[in-house]
Amino acid sequence: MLWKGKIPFKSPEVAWRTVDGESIIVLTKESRVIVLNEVGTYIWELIDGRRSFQEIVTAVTEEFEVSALRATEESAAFLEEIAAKGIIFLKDKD
Amino acid sequence: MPEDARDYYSELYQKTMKKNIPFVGQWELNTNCNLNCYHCYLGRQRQCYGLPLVKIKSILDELADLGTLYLSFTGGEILLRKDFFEIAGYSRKKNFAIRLLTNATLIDEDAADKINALNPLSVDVSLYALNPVIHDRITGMIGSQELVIRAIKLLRKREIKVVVKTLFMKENLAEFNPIKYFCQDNGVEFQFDFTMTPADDGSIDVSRLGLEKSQIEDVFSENNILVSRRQDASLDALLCAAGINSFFISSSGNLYPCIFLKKNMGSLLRERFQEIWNSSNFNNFRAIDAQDFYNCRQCGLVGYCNHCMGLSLLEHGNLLGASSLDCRLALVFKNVYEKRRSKYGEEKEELSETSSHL
Ligand code: SF4
Repeated sequence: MLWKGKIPFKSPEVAWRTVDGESIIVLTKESRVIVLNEVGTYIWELIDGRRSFQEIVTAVTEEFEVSALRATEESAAFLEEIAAKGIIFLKDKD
Repeated sequence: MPEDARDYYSELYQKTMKKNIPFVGQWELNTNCNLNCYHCYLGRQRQCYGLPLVKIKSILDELADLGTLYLSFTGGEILLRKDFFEIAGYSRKKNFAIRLLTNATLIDEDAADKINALNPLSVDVSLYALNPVIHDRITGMIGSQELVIRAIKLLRKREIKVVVKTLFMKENLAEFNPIKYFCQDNGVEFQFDFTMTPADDGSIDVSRLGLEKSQIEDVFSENNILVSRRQDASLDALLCAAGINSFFISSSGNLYPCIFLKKNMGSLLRERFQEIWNSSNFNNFRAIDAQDFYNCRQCGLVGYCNHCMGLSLLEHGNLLGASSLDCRLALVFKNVYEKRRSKYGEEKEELSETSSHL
């Protein structure tokens, strides 16, 4: 899996705020806006350039009481989607 | 589990209105300026150097916690603050989406690089004419136009979004097309306005400097600019977001509903933002009902009007009247709209009588 052993970090080109449980993300260069749902918001707030993908999955598993497999698959799907929009990038764990 | 990222922006925006979340702010960092524009709404009050950095940072911390996302920094001239990039950098660190409003004369290569690193939504630049003599006469500084053009090019070279903002007055009306074409050629957004805001100290002679109604109409017709009629022509459509989900912080730290609405709600030097935002001052202001706009109740121009309580306050000393500037512009929009409709053979809509004080 692409995400294993990687650390996601937010693009410096985004601005964002969580309002009433939903994160609103502005892509400053494109003046485009994306709103995340509750779970997306939870993951988004965990992305700090230090936590690894694995740590995020563990947190999701505990917070939403789902199996590790499901948390892994869905977190990866979500991260891939927002990575495709240029909102996050990946770096290697050092 | 995560669903697709959604585009629910307008829903969320409505939520910020309903819940009075201070989502959008404008902050006047200082009023001192290196130019001396003769139409400046600040009038002669251009000597405030703004709040200290540490206070600004603590207000930014609070705004981030309260849900503010969009923040425009204005002046005076913001780049005269030695700590400007520290303020802007800190606000980006706190994840605000920022816009910079500047006269652009101080933007050199180094400043353009620093602005680029901030990833602002846009840099909004005042440009009054492509003819340097006219621009410089308006700004009171010889050579200022050349500096603005240089700045725009430096910013565009870095692919920073630039918005040229032009207030058209008698002096620079002939510059409409040159500025429009300059913007097109340089990938710059062009925003223009015809409403001169009277200064608090009465130092702007709006009627002498501002355009006649017929001149504004001509700009619209000659440039084929579309004017739309709001579908919702009820009085409620005249209410804006000021004080509902947006706010203005003055250079001396006072909190207002809007830059144009000079109703001081409290001082951020004495109280926290949240205390003022939730105070009876703000709540009473929010309780204003559009039915209270006594001049507007019988008006047939509501669908064309960008009614501003701030202008009414300046002109009549109360929030509920109608500013003659708004009424004049609404009438211009109606005329332009109707001329266009009749030219293209559409059916003319019936409008009720216009307000008697026009
Ligand atoms: S045109 Fe004047 S009276 Fe009519 S709605 Fe606008 S501000 Fe009110």
